Amino acid sequence: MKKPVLYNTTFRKLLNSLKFKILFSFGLLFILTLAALKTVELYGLPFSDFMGDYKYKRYEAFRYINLIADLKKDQLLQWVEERRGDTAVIASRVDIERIRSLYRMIYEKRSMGLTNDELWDMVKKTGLYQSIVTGLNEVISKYRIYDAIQIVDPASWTVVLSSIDTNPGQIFSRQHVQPSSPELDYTHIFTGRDPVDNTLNMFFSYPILMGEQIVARLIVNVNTDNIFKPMLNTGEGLGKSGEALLVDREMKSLTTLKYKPAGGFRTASDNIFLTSKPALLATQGEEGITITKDYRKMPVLAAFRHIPISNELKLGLVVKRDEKEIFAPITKSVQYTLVICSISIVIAIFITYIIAGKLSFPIQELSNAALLVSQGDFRVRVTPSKSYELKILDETFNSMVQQLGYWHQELEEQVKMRTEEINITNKTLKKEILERKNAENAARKRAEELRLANTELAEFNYVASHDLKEPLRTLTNYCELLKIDVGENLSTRAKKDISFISDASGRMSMLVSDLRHLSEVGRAEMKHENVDLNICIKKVTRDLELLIRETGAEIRASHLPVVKGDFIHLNRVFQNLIENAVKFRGEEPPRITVDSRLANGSFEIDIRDNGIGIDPRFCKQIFLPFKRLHSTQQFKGTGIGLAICMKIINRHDGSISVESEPGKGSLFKINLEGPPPA
Amino acid sequence: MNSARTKALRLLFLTITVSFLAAPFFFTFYPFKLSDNYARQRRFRKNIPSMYSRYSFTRSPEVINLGIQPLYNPTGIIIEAIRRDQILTESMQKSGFDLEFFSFLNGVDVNRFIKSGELQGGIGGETSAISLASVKDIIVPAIIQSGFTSIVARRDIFINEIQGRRIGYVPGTISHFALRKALLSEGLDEDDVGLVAMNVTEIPEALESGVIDAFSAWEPTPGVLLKIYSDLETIYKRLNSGFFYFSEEFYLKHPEAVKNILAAELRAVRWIKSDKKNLFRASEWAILAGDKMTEVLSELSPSQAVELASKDLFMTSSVPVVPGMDKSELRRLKESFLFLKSIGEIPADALWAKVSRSFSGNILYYILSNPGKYRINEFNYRKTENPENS
Repeated sequence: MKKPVLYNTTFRKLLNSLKFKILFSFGLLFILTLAALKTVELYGLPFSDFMGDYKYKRYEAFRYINLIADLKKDQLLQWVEERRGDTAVIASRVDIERIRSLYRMIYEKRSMGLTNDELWDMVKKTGLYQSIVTGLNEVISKYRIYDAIQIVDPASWTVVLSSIDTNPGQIFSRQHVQPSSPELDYTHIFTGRDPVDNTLNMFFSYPILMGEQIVARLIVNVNTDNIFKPMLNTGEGLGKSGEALLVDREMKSLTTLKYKPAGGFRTASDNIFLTSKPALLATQGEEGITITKDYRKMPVLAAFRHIPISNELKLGLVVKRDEKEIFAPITKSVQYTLVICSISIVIAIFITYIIAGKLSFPIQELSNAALLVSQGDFRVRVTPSKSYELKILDETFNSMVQQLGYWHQELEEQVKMRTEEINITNKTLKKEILERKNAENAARKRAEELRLANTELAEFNYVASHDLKEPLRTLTNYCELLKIDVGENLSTRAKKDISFISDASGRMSMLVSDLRHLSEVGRAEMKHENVDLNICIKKVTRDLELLIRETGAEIRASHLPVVKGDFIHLNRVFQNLIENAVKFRGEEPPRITVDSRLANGSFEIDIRDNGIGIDPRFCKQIFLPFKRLHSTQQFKGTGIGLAICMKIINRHDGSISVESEPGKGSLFKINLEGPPPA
Repeated sequence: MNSARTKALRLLFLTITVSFLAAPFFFTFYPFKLSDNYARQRRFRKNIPSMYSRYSFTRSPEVINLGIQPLYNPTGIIIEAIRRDQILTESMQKSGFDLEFFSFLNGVDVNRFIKSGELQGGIGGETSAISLASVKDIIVPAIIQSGFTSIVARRDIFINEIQGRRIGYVPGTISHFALRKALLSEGLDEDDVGLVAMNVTEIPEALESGVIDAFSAWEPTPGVLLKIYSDLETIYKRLNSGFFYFSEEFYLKHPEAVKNILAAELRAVRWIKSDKKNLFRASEWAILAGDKMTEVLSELSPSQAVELASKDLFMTSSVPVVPGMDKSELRRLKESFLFLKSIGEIPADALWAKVSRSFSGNILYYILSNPGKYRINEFNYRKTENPENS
């Protein structure tokens, strides 16, 4: 699996370097501190009065637009109050007697049976009418705010006098007036749309009293478009996108909109209905500030105010400004802060990098020096730093390196001496090794020669035994042929001689065979298998069954062990020994016992008999080939059997010995490899 | 050992840091439960201020007991003028009546005593008038004031940041309704804030001690506290009307007495509105009445009271007819009716038709049509509320 880049050695080295750690720690500390300070500066401190720049500016923006809305509302109400006062003043100046005279004249003219138009044409031409209208026009020119002043009949609301020539005789159209209102000094305020340009007209009505009786109503008319537009939308604080809107209770806009409305509006033939939340809340008598979308579907900060002009006429004022424009300074401030912070961080990291370099340089120098020392250069020295702690470190290092240099030199000399000693020893050892190698080679050569000789000997043995046996067989055969050919003609002596020749050649043949066996035992490969000696004894007993029966021999064997060895050869050992015990018997029938025991980690097997025994002087000699203690006439045999036994036991790394005395039987002791340690 | 100590210190540091970071979020977004709010509200509603136990109501056909609210401006100012109206005193004496005024902290308490028959009429905000009209036959012949109920908060809180804040309010009153409307305007409900039920007299202390972050109340409480604490800001206002209302049974028995009282109201409004000096005098009387009721000297000077009352008085009509014919006004009142139903302040089976019938401007129109008889353009006020000291 490919290792991640992080585990790259160079990168790890960089990460683990002191310089990087100083840079990272101080850089991070600075960034965190700066971020914390700036966050607190911008967003305030929790659980404290410190509000933070961002929130403060936001709060100021909210407060500012609230303040503007309050000012606009006060301005509006003040303006309405002034108009209300103006109306009362104008009404109080109207000459009631002249109005009554006008009424009387109208009544008289009407009784003449004139049409309405004729009546009012006539009335308008009268001096009385003209003089009152002149008075009203003087008032209009004096106030410079009113578009028209009219006097209406309080019962029928017929215009009886007007500064506008076309109005007299018409019924006054009113909105927001409770017809049953029996008010005495109550000023009605109502609105209407201008039939020409659809702008909003506001009418202030005030009763003209005679005692407690209302004789007429004075109505002054103001076209608000020229008033409200500058009043609501001039002055500082609204910015480029700011706008103040006035709506009535039906949510109709009473002012001309600054922007073209977007979708979501429904427009009547002469009205625009605003459906925004602040406008609705304001007309419902609520005041406040909210962030919402305006009629353009643009997010705005809108302060809304309820304008209770009269019991009947209640308006809503919405002062709004695009959120984007309002919060632009705040956003800019945050952006500047971020930029300044970023620059500060870069500068801080740069300065920290330099400081980190300065701080880590002596250590780096020390580290480089230590590296050189580790590579064996003890001449290296560091320049002592100006810093007190590092100066001590540097001086200690230099002193340490100097001491190390001395030690190193001393060690070098000792090593040199030892090396020379070792070289001498090495030379001696090399010589010995060479000699040993030569000896080994010589031994190997001799062993090879021996092996070849053995091979040759084996071949010779085989050939010799075969070739030697051949004339013996011929001799035996011819002796037999001679007996057959001559037969009865042979003398007793000749027969005896032929019999000697035949027996001698038979013994010679046996001797040759035994010699060959002895030779083979010496060279044959010995197997290393488990050999149960009980089976061996049984096999021997079976093989010698005829002999045992003839001699009345008795063989007793205790439980014998299983040993490691070659079954055939070990079998031969026991066969030779038991056969000898039977062969060299005394007058009593042979009694042979086979026992075994474990002693000193090896098996000792005893074969005891009650035979004729052996003179202890010959106990060792009997294991030599052709060593016979008796003549062949007494006991037949070649004298090689025990030599074969010894050879076989020796090939099993064991030993064989005999303890005996003449006439007391013999005890053959075989020692074989014991069981492996548990 | 050192390693264990270091680990413990690290853990402690981590815990402190996490707690410190989490604390503002916890306090800001603590999930206040509506059930908690209602529980507080119920506990508050069960507590009847002990001051009322001092009142001894004269139960006599010749005595008219009226419940007033000195801490409800500019009503308090108008009422103090009515109490000193010599013309009213004379007309009452002529009819053989004795008029007694009892001060209450809010309209809910006024209603409680009207229902028990100890008061024959009283003053209350629109929620109180509607609440009583839904369960008792009353007449609501006149508006006594039009003014704003305000939600005032510490200046770092705007209406869109009110979620999770603790707000003081008077349950079942216009204060409660204004708060509901303000929350609705921002898409919130009462479950989103911590409501702390209290009387208006308890608000300053609650604000000072940090029990509440904001409050909803009628004038003069917001005005007074805004003057005292510079770190407060009005974040929302709602126009509401205060009404004069009487038991219908009482009106049917003594219609002239009610008309004389309403004429006195007309006179008081006109007198106060006609001259700033009159407003100043009436404000002084109102401050004294408030001090007497709360037994605490008001923080407000008469000139400050005048300044506060001026705006609301401007909205209070000289012809304070009830909005019987005005659809928009009726719609506003019906909203209050539905609100009261939603909070269980009025029975679920209460009918709007019954409530709306109680509001009638006819009595006031009659008085206005007979200005001479009811002397609505004459003004004569004594210095003390007690007629015997005039």
